[in-house]
Amino acid sequence: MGIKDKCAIVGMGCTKFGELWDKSGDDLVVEAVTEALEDAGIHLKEIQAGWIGSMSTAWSATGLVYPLSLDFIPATRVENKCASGVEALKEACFAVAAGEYDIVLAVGMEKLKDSGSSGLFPPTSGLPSGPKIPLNRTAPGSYAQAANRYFYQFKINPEEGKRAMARIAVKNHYNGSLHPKAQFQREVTLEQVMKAPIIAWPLGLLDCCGVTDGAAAAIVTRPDIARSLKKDYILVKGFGVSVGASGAIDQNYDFVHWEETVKASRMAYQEVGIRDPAKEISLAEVHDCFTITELVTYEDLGFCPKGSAKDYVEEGVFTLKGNLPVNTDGGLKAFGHPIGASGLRMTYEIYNQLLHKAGPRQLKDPQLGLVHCQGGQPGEFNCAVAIFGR
Amino acid sequence: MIGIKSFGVHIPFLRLSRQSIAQYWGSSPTEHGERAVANWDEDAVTMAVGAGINCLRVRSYERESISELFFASTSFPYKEKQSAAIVATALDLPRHCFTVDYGNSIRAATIALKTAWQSMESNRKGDILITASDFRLGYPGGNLEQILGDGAGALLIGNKDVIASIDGYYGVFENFIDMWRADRDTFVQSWEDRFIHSEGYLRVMSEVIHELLKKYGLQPKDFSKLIFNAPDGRRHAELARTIKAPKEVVADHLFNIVGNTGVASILLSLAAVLDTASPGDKLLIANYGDGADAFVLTVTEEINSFRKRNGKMVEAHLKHRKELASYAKYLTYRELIPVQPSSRPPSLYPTPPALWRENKGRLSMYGAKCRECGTIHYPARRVCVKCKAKDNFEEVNLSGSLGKVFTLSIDHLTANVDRPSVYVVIDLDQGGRVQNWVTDCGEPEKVTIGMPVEMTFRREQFAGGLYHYGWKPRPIA
Repeated sequence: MGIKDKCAIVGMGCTKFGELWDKSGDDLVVEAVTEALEDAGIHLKEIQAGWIGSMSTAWSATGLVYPLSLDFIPATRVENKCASGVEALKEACFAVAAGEYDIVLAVGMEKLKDSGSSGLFPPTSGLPSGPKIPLNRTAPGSYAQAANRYFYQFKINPEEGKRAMARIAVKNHYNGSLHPKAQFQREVTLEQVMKAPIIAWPLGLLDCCGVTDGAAAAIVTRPDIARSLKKDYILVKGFGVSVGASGAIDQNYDFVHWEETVKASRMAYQEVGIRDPAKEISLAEVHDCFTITELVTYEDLGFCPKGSAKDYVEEGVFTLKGNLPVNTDGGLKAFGHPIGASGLRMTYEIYNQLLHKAGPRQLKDPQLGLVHCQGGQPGEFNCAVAIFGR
Repeated sequence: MIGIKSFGVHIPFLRLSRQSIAQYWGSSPTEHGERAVANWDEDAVTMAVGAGINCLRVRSYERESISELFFASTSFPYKEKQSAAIVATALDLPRHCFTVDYGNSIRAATIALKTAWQSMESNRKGDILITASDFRLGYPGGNLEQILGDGAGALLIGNKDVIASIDGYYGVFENFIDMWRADRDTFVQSWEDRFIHSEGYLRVMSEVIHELLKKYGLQPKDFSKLIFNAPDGRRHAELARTIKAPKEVVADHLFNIVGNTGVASILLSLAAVLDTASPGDKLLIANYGDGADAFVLTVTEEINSFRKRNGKMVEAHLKHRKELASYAKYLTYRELIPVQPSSRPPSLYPTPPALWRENKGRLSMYGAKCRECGTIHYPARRVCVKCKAKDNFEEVNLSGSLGKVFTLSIDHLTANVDRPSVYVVIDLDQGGRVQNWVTDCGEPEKVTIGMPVEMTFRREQFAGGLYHYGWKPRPIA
């Protein structure tokens, strides 16, 4: 059993990501869905059900139904922090695979720039109870705790560690410069990354992703219907989701790996039948909210052994020309991170690569693409992994 | 024998030199030295808790023995809502403990002491903990801003194992307006110098000391130390001259290293005296404010073993210090100047029902220890992280735990008052892990993996019209 080959993505859309002052969250939904429908060659009226992944913009499925006037269809808003976009897609796929619907819509959207804030608004109006997350915590502060411990545990000179992280920023910004929809389309140099103002050592400004507006959408259907609609579509091969909540209080957590990523990816690998991900995965879109996130994620996805990511980065393994290109569209670093949208934006890149529509970034004959999203902070992640193929 | 069983102090980590305040205003300092400045996350309640812990920890004392908690201050965080209840919760005192706020007069600490003495005489069932703490503001640019200091003291009063017995009391009240804060005042108001000192402080204190000596047939020369509060160093010396006390018996007022700490002042001076007192020493305490209180104390043999166990309390506190970077920091900490708001999203805060549910977790710092596998959880959980046992925990108080930094970051982006702030993961030595901001850390760069820390009770924020408190790690001095 499992989801493998039971669902197809027949159309995708993605807005330009950036500071979209002249667009509302509703506009973003309309634009992403319009492109996806055109790509699939179907009409909005054919959509039987919909899911929207959004952390703090759409607080209910009304955020999907209202902009599209999709009144009276079954619609649901899903939320799983930064994994919300993949969650929306997963729910859509599960419903199709269960035979409940034939053609459904999954959207991820976030409109962050209206907040005027450098950080994220809380996902709900729920009031905190209990001394769980310290007041005024920041995301870079939390990831920097992992980076500092990582350097300490693997005896990496902090300057050298920071340089390896900087190479990830340089790679992703280069890839982003090849994508017209990325928020940042300019390359950065290693020196610029190293010298950028420090946010939380070792993370400087250019080790952090942007606060961004954007949306992406996918049309999901059964493979037999997909075949009748068009010839180029991709197949869903596997999902894995893992949520942890104890690292901040559990002394066994080491702060140098993401257990949720290990667990979610192994679920997905099992579903697909992958034994050696470093060899079998053609490309991956991973959560690079900070450069340290991507560095550690290489190891936890099984792309390289624990503690060795720095060497692999220095060898160029994850560049466009490397053996296992990661974040070929520029990742969160170049696209920015509209929370609920990112998972479907990553899927959009895998979709385009698998269908040979990735333009100057196109890889040679990719077979399997992986999407990895991870919300929260070290020790308390909400992680989702999805794998796609032809 | 009724008397003092233990004492404790809390002197804030931060100091501001009077020179640097005067320099800002283009004047010269009114007195020498420096003053203690409460950190941005400290207030009268947190300092009282600090002094209380210091007082109770020194004897690895059983808190169940405390039957009354008195909290004396003129700077309670709330006008309506008892502060002693917050202190008692943070100190994890037994539920039957009788809690009282003593306020509104600089004499509040000795008023509490007099009440405690009387209470011990009529009810010999438990000990009484007195905490005294002040956190007063002088007008920016005024003399009081330089003279005042922040700090707290504590006394444990009982009838066994006392290090100093209370042997006599004399006191008067007098309605006299010298220094005051009306219910709408932020800063301490003061009437003209000559009047308030000659007709107020000097006259009333001389009278009370004179009457106390007369009542017990004593002379100034019978005392090893005379301990009295004063508005400033000059009046302190003037009173000593007026009562013809030899210079060497007048106890240090600590104004040059801590400042005039208001209600706490008399207990800090007493603590400094007890740090070096010998058995048989007779001490006179006189305290002023809307009248005056005077006591006779006699140091007992117990003082020697007490000191052997605990060392010198005031000296230990004075060692752990850091000069505040600037006068502007002081103004920022006390919210006396508007500053650029943070660009971070607004923080959420717990409401009264959630705060009430979390009294034990947040304020007393209880975690849960799994009865099946021994794993310690903070905050407490219903299901064990490790062995998944459900609702099979023992409550453990973690507020006294020491710990070590497991990892850290120095965060420039946080909305904390102090930026950058050091955000740490702490592994407690007895088990359990907490994640929070380090306080009183001096230079952020000095915090390293493996650094030992202790937990300290601090104000986290003022939000929703309420003060929110909790425990934070700080480097062990």
